[in-house]
Parts: sequence; C-alpha cells; structure tokens
Amino acid sequence: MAINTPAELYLDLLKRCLTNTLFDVEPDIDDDEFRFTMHRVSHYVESNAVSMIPLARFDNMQKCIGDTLRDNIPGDLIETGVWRGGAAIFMRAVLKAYSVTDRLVWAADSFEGLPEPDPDKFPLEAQVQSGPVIQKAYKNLAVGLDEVKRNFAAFGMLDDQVRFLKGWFKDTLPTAPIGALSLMRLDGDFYESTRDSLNSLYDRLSIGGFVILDDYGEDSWTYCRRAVDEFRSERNIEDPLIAVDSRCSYWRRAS
Amino acid sequence: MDTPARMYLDLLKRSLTNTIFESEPDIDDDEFRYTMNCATHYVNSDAVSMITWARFDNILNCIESILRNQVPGNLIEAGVWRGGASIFMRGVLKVYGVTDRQVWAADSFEGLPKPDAEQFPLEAKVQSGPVMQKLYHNLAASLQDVQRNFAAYGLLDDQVKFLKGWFKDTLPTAPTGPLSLIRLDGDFYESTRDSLNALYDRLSIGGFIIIDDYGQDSWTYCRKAVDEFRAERQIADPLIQVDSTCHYWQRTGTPAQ
Repeated sequence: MAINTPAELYLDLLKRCLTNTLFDVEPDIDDDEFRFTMHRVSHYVESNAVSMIPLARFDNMQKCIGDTLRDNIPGDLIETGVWRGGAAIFMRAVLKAYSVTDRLVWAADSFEGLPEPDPDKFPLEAQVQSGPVIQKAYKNLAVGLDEVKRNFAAFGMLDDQVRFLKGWFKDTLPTAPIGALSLMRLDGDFYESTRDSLNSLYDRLSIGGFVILDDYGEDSWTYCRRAVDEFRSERNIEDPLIAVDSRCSYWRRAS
Repeated sequence: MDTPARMYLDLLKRSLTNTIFESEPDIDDDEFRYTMNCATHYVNSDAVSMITWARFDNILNCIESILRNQVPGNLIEAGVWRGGASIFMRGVLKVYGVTDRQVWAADSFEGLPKPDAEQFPLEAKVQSGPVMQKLYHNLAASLQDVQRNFAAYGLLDDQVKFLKGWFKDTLPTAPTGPLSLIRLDGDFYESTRDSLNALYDRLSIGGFIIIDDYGQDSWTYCRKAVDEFRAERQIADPLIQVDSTCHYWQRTGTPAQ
C-alpha cells in the first residue's frame, strides 16, 4: 500500500505506535503456535503496545472504514473485546483523520478479562482460559476501563465520539443505545462472546457494512468459528467470508 | 484545527521523544534532576530525540514559514544524536508533499569531540566527566543506528543526506547548496563556530538558524561562539528564545546600525 497522503502517513505511524512495531518486527502469526504465543507475550503484553493484532488487520480495518465512508454506509463502529483499546483507538483515529464527526466508536468489554466458559459445553475454551498461558502470561486479557481510557487519551482520542460499554456482552449489548452500525469488530475470542455479539448487533449492521471476526481461525483454543458458522447458517448469510490473515476473517453485509 | 498533517506531526513528535505515555522532563527543573531525568527518559528508552516539544514546534513553525514564503534551500542539522530532529524535518517535508528540498544530517557519529582543556576548561571537564561518558555515552550514536531510526519512521530516502565526520572537515566542502534552515546542536564552542563559519553564508534571506545550546552556560561556551559570530558579522536580527536554552533568529539581511 502506497502511503502518500497526510492521513495515510498518520494512520501508518499510529499503527506502528499501537503495536510496538516501529523498531521491532511483529510476531509472525504463522510461526509455530508455542513460539508465536511466547513472542506475543514479550512483544505486546510486556511492552507499551496497546494492541496485539497484526498490521494486516489494521490495514483491513482502515480499508473497511474507508469503504463505508466512500459508499455512505450509515452507522457507528463497535469493537467487542478491546483489551488495551488499540483497535478501537485506531477506529476513532480513522474517523478523526477523515474529519468524520457524526459517527461514534463503541468499545465493549468486561474490562475484567475473559469470562469463564462452561467446561461441559466448551471444554477446550475452559481449559485454555483457566490455564497458565492465559492466566499468567496474558493476565486473562484483563485491562481496566481506566487504563483503556488512559490509552485513548495518550493518543488524543478520548472524546465524546467514544463510548464505553462495561460488562458481559450478553448483559450490555442487547440494550446498548446504539443505532445503526457500519462496522462491527468482534474480538471476544470465545463461542458465547461471539454468539452474544452477533445476536445483539448483527441486525443493526447497515447493508454495506462490515463484520470482522478476529478469532475465526483460532481453532486450537476457541469455538469462535463454530459460533460464526452456526449464526451464518441460521440466518442464511451467504456473503463471502474473506480471510484477512490465517486467523482473522470478515464479511461485508450485502443484504 | 486538527488536520491530518498536524495529527501526523504531533504523533511523530511524541513518538520520537517517548512522550506518548510519559510527560517530558521539565527543562526548568533543578539541573541535576533534569540531567538524570533526561538520561532515564530519553537515553535509556527508545527515544530518538531528547529535545523539548517546544523545539519541535519551533522547527515546524520555521519550516512552515519557509514553505509559505518560498525561501529557497535545504535543511541541515549539525549534531543529530539518534536523528530525531532530522527525522522530524524529513517528516514535515513529506507530510507537506515537498520533494525538492533535502535534509542534511551532519555528525561525527562517534559522539562529542574533546574540547581543548586550556581554551575551553568547562567543556573539557564536562565532556570527560562521568555524566557525559557513562550516562550519555558521550552522545554517540552510529550512522547505522541513525539510518535505522530514519527507516523505522519510513523516512530514509534520497531526500536525506548524511555527512559523517568532524564539522570542520565535512561542512566547508559539503555540497549542500543554499539552506533555508540551519539547526546547530553541536553543543560546544568550536562545533558551533565551525558550523556557523561554514554554513551561514549559504542561508537564504528569510531562512532560519536555530541554536539548540545557546543557553547551556553551565557546561558549554556555545553562547560565546554565537555572540562573537554575530558581532563579527554585524548580525542584528533579533535572537528569539524557544525555551530556557534554545534560541533562533531569522536572517533578514539587514546589517547592524
């Protein structure tokens, strides 16, 4: 991608700042799983990084938002599962760089980390969630709301175009006062988080809007794929699911 | 007004100075504490510059004035440390789509020279002392490190030229062409004098000269070098303060009365 305009220069620098990739190369998502996990912990969790998603996913988000603006697809933007806030900060920054003042960014999270999956229904998820990697190395992916707000503020993006929804998705999303959506980015990792988000939010997604599934290919520790496949099948959604990288996928709602 | 260009330059400034999550050391703090803070905040971090935000804003204001008034010439920094201020200059040109001006980065890339102990006792003492040698590593950053830093920000290209060596050897014959901005950050008397002698005549009318260390009287004779040069050349353009140490003037071509 050629980077020429001031907005592109800004967003490129922002991605690198958020992901600690100015001086270090990002962990290789297609590396051996154990090595990738360990590399992610040292590169993102133990640094000032505010996001641990690959640069390709930032590029994809930027493209999706650009398309919705170009095509005048109405609606706010939401991320469900924000960790330290990086991807949501980036959404707010894209709006700001393109002087968009009539769309909000919603950041939904427990701000207490991952929920405990039911071990009978979701044995793999329950095992991983209670295991040492998630609990010790990733600190259950828990980041307090204050810290996330501090990160938004550090990048000059904490303003009234950003809204926070604190709580479990099944409690907050159904009644969240969100109108139409143009982009929904689901990064809740687990089956139920993904299903709860889809159930609550998909009907608010405008035609021409995008839904991004961060964890669709995380088959070694989540049932995210199953949640998505079941939802698409129940709703007869045939819009093509497109891979962003070997784990993240998205589709554009055509009808 | 938050234009994308301003957003880019603001984030670049913060990133270069390690001030996205931390505030910058207070230059008007007690000298010892400020020196220690700078070592922790800049030298021992990924920071690529240790100059204050006010100085970045000053660089930006100067370049915007140069572009607005079409003052001809390239930009040079003499004394670049890890490259931050020069990277910022290149970033300003890039974000404004300027392709016909170069950024010149002049440095020994081996750290500060040794001042003559008889002529410059204060400088010699500080340069050989533990703060400069141990804490600041004699302000040495290699050409390779500096180029890596330019590349990290996507700003290493053929609009950037490097001049490696002592100023007195490299600057007089450097093919810089006319200059619109000269930023002197060589700290010491001789570095400052050598830079002024070699470069000032190339500065276009309407261009700017920034003296980073003019107020560093506790350990340099930079002020003396500048005052003597201005007196010899009868330069009456007002010397304007950026913060408690950095100063600049705009060359108007008006001789002293």
